[in-house]
Amino acid sequence: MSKTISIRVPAITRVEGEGALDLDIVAGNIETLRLRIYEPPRVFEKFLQGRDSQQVLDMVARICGICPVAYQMSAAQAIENCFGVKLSPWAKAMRRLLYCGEWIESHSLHMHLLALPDFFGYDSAIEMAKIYPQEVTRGMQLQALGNDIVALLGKRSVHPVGVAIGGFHHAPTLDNVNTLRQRLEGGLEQAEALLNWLPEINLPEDHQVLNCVAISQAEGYAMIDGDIVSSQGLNLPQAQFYEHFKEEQVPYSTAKHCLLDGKPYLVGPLARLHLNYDDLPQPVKDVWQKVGIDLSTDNMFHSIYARAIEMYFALYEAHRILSAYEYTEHPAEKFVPKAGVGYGCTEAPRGMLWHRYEMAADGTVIEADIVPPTSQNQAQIEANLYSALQKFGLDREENDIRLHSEMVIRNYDPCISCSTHFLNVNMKRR
Amino acid sequence: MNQLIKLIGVGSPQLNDDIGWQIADSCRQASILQPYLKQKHIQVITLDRPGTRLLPLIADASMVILFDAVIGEEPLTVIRAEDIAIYHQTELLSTHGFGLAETMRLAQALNQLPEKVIFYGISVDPWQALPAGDFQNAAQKIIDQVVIDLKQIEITANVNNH
Repeated sequence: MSKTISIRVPAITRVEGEGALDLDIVAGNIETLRLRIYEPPRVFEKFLQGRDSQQVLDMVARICGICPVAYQMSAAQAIENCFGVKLSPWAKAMRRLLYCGEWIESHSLHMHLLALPDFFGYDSAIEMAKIYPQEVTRGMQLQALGNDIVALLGKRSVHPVGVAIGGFHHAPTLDNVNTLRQRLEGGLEQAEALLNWLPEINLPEDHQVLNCVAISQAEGYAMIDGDIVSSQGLNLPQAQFYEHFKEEQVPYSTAKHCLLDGKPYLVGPLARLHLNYDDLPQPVKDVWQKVGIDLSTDNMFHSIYARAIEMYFALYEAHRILSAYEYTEHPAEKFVPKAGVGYGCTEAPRGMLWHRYEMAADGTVIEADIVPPTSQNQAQIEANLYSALQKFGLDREENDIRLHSEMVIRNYDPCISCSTHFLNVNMKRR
Repeated sequence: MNQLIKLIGVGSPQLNDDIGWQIADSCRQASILQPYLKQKHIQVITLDRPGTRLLPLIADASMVILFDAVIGEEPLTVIRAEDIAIYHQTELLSTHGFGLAETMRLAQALNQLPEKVIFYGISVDPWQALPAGDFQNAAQKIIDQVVIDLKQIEITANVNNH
């Protein structure tokens, strides 16, 4: 093959934020492949300097409209660790409930509005909705249920404001809790129906050599607490993150690439399930075993199954927490700020989110460091594209290569606004 | 006929994108609208970038009046549209590429649009403050037209009830 192809996708669609893909194929080989994130740097870490600890929680929620809870959870955990604040069992349960809401909302949005149209060959969820109205409506209802869980504790579902250092600003009323718990029962039925429907969809094969990374804890499926583990045997306290992980600036992207011992790695739902499947509650595993799909094949497109399983789990977990709910007049522990350094690492819907804060004795931030999941997945996405496009066939029509590239990228649910803190494909073939 | 009517201002806090909220607030306070707003079936709502969260919020309404910022015209130019085609003409930047236009098109695809949807787009310059007096004039014009819209829906409902 002698011809040269250059594909430039100047703005990748159906992802959060703005980025591009540059692809040059020369004589049948990929010469250039760059996931180019050009959204301006958002310098949040600088904004946080000098801010009070509570202001941090409200500010980091503004990093992302889809996963604001994740930013609040990692920041709160880091600052509470620094101040030596011990959460009450009530507050711990509510933090987990809040995170369940975000997983449900984010996973349902990604599956129904962003990923599924790719697998059916539609340009958008709007086109898909004309053929699959019940399925799309079900997805929107599940997303709304997740939003309402976030609003129960956060007072609003986008950029919530309910989280406080030491717990929450308020406790939901029993009436509101009972109403939501009843709705979750319907949500569980809908999520099980989704799990049973997904195998009817013909997913592409895209087997990758994956080094999966997530947090893992002694008991329960890790969302908030745990050490950092990998499928290649890493087991690391959160504070030692930089002993193995390193962020690098690449000239074509405003988002940093984070590498694990110099190599790409995967974070997100598929990585979590690879590492922590055994920690799922048995009723969740039972539902999945009835579906009967093997997730151990490292097919990246099985990410949609992983999201669906995690959404079912989050609904199950939210129902469990709300069933045991008791109102409290003391939703937050009192605390005294302390100078020091604190670390937080929790599982955002799209992967591990690591924070570090150096705090002054007056409770203000001296220095902040945030490593979001899309920065961690960026090198993995490029590595995945490289092999996936070779398997797909570099001699295909340019538009087919463009569409396949976008599908591979969207499968990671990248949040580019978080990481700069999508996709134009620019392709050349010679 | 379900007669629930929702006046919804959508937007975000920055770059004059809150003008839909300001118009909704002006409606809440307008004396001419008080007789309508005292009726339980008419609600005024403000939403921060609702995306697809708008779907369940409009599902139970027979009529929705939307206020949102648009760009491209002279500041405070008001565009009023009853035709859903307006949502096919706009490709606004939004989270995951799913903003008001896409949400309304999704509602149409799912056959979940209210019987009547009226869109008021208020043009803004994101980088320049809006003159207060000019805003009040624009808001008053919209409020006067909203009164006509509400009267029209009442007349239609009465005709249908007979």
